[in-house]
Amino acid sequence: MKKSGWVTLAAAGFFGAIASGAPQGAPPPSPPPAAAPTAAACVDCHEDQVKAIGRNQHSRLALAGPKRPAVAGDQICASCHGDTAAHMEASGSTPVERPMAGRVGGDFCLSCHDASHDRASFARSIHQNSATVNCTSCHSVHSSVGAGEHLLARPQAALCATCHQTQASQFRNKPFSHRLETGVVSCVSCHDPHGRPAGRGIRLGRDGELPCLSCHAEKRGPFVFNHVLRGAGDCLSCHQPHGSSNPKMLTRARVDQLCLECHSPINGKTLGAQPPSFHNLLSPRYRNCTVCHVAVHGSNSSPALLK
Amino acid sequence: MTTSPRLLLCAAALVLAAPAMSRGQSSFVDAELGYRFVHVSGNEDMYRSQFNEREGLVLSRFSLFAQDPLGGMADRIRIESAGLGAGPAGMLRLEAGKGSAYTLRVRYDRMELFSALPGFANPLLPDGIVPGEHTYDRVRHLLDLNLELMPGRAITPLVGFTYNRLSGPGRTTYDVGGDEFRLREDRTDVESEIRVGAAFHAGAFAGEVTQGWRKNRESADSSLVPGAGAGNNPGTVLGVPVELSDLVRHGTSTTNTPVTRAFVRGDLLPRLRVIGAYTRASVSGDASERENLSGNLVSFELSRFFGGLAETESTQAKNRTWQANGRVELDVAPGIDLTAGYQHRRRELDGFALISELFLDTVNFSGSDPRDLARLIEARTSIDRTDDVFDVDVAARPIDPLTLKANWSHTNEDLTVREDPSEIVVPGSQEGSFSRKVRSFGGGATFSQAGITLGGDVKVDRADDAILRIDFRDRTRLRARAGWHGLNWLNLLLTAQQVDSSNRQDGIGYSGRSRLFGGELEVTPIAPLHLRVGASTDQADSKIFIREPQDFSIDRSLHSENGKSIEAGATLDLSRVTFDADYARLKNSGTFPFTLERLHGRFGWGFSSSLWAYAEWGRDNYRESLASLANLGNYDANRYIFSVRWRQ
Repeated sequence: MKKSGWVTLAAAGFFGAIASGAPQGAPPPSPPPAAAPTAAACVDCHEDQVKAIGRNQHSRLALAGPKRPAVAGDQICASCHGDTAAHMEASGSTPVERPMAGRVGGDFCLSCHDASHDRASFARSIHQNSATVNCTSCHSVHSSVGAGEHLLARPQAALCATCHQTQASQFRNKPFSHRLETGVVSCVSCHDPHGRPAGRGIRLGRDGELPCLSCHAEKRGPFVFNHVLRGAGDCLSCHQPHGSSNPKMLTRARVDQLCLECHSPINGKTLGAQPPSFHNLLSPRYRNCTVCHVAVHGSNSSPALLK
Repeated sequence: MTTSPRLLLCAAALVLAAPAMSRGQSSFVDAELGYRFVHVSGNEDMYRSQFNEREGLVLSRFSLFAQDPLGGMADRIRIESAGLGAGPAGMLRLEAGKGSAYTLRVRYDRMELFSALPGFANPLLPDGIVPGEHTYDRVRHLLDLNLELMPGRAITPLVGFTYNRLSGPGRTTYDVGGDEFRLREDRTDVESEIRVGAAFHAGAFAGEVTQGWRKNRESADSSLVPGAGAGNNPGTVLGVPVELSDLVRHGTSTTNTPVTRAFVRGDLLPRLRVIGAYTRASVSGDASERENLSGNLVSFELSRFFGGLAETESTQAKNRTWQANGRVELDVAPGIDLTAGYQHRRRELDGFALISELFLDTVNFSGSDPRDLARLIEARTSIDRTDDVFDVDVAARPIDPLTLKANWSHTNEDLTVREDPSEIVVPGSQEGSFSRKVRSFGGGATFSQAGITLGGDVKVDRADDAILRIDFRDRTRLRARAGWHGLNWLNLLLTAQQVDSSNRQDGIGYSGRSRLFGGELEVTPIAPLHLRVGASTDQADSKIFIREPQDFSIDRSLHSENGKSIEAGATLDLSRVTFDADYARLKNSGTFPFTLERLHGRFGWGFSSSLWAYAEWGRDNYRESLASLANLGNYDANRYIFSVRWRQ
């Protein structure tokens, strides 16, 4: 057989196997069994959960969705947990058909929650469902009353801090930081917990920019005389976004040090010009570059970023 | 320190509207309103630069969820709010909807931005003049509104509006005529964007297309700060004192940006998904500025003294960016996923500036040849940047407690910078073409069973060159995590991260290491009592060769941080009494040593299950240890809040 024939055969076999396999992710939810116990029966033992789910977004299961039929109000428990008859007959000593925990439970959530743009990559996200972290690690399916939107199990900053404790400590304990306790800026302002690993989970702006510019719009430009932004570097070239020991959340305590680390073209192969020799750093007047170069993010009127 | 009356009105409206809206079938209301007293000893400017919690009424929280609240206009409404009132930041979120008719999401944020630092970029610090020259006291308002019509239908129209306004006074510096002068700068920046589009799903395909129109208007007025006419330089230039007697500057700029976004996802085969996205933004900006100043000034470029300057500028800048990406998601076998993607990003920027300067009453350095001199500068700049990124991820989850992941990516960066001759002061390294390729490999594993979690990953980046001197050529990141959640009363988590970056090229000699280690233990010995203790270290060390401008000598730029923080807290939650206390201390040594201690206590008393009263105390104590700053930034801030909370 010619080489191209083997390739064709292999490709046919490969895609044939894909086409004949199980659908991606969990199977779509099927209507609850006709004889499934109703929520009215579940409430005998799980009163808190049944009451709470009636007050959160999952109560909208009674409405038909793009990929599923409407669920009768009294079948709401069975729509996720499956047949619970055996569970009830054993007085709770045997598990329900679908316990909705761990990776398997998380994958079942995706049978409904993969429809929007934001969640398009959820199945392959930076927090892809695993035994360690899955949907129910962060989302309280039954109740999140008081915890805010998206049925979060805890307030958002505290939730992320559960695993990312050192980053949380930087926000809380660094003198210059984005103060998460105000609720205005949160971890998800800049990071998409369902984002792609390749993008480091960064939540880009509407036109593909770093999330910094969603608030700090005046830094966007464009400027005739650019500095770092839109060129070689970005905001993180000079700033630490979580929190910094240094004023202005800079990566260095001394401004001249920060600037000269790029503006010392010793080998002449990198971008960043040498300051002229009248910049005598022994004088306080010249030691702080931004005293004169005030338009450090870019300028329309001064080639040397002086205004 | 005053509280915005409009915000208080907003807070009062929320509280008053709550009972009306919560009459629905199922509802929840949680509101806490209090008054904050603030006492700061030491440098209040530094306290405001770091925390800025002010005295006054504050709506600490407001949550409302109601079903069928507005007589058929909505079948659900959720409102979340926090921090409105005496700042420093407040937010309001609203989500309302009615079945498959509409979903409305509104977000409002208000941020008070204050900065007045004694030692930052302050050439007058040795003279004891604080704060530094760059200060501001501004407010940002952010409004974001998104309306989704007929959610869940085959075609869902989308409408959105975003508004971002930054305004307030500040101080800046102007380098002119041989000295630097402090200016007052009042600015207002307003950005707004309107979006329309639609989401769709048809058969195996779903996606979204939106078109937005963004407009940005900026206006800034500057004038000489009274008493600042002598400038930063106490000496004379060629024996003549340099002084500025008056300066008026007015600048405006406007940019218009159409933004197009498209996204489509296709489930082509049962185990194969293809996703594509496209974003395009084309910015066109015009700016103009007028400046008039007078004084006794010098220009070394003209080799003349001058008595005044009239300057006008007219500029245009265009920036076109577009990016497209596509990826394939394939279920290779049950529990084994493969994702492969490609992204192309391109940015093109062109700038044009026409600057007209008229130097008045000039004389040469010998005091002769009086005349007015005009100078015209025409500048053209451009930047072209292209990025291509290929990446592949594989995840294996066939055995449930264990997950294995591996990834590879390759990035090509190409950059061409063309500066105008007017920008180039010292020739070299300010323009040119640059290319950089970065290859990345990574892998990791997590294991979770019986309350024990273990995880670790490694990522290695290798670049063939650097565009900026601080770009790495080699970078390795290691992370490890271990946790134990046992017996329903104990939770232990240990994390570690180390990142090593370096570029050993001649003349650069860059190496940096950052390390984060943390541990946290939470214990619930008896049901109402919760105890927690944590400790973390945050270390950073970097070194790189630099060239001192004054004598072109080669030196090393060294930066180090060694932060050690400890945290402890306790929560007691009884039926009618709650008590919460936290203590945190960060001691940083290295280039910029300081200590920050934070104490917080909150006591609550329940008059009923719905009505509670709270007394709260917070203390932040900040002490700098750098001798050159002479403890100027130190402060001790105490806040006391008395509040009432209603939950139903």
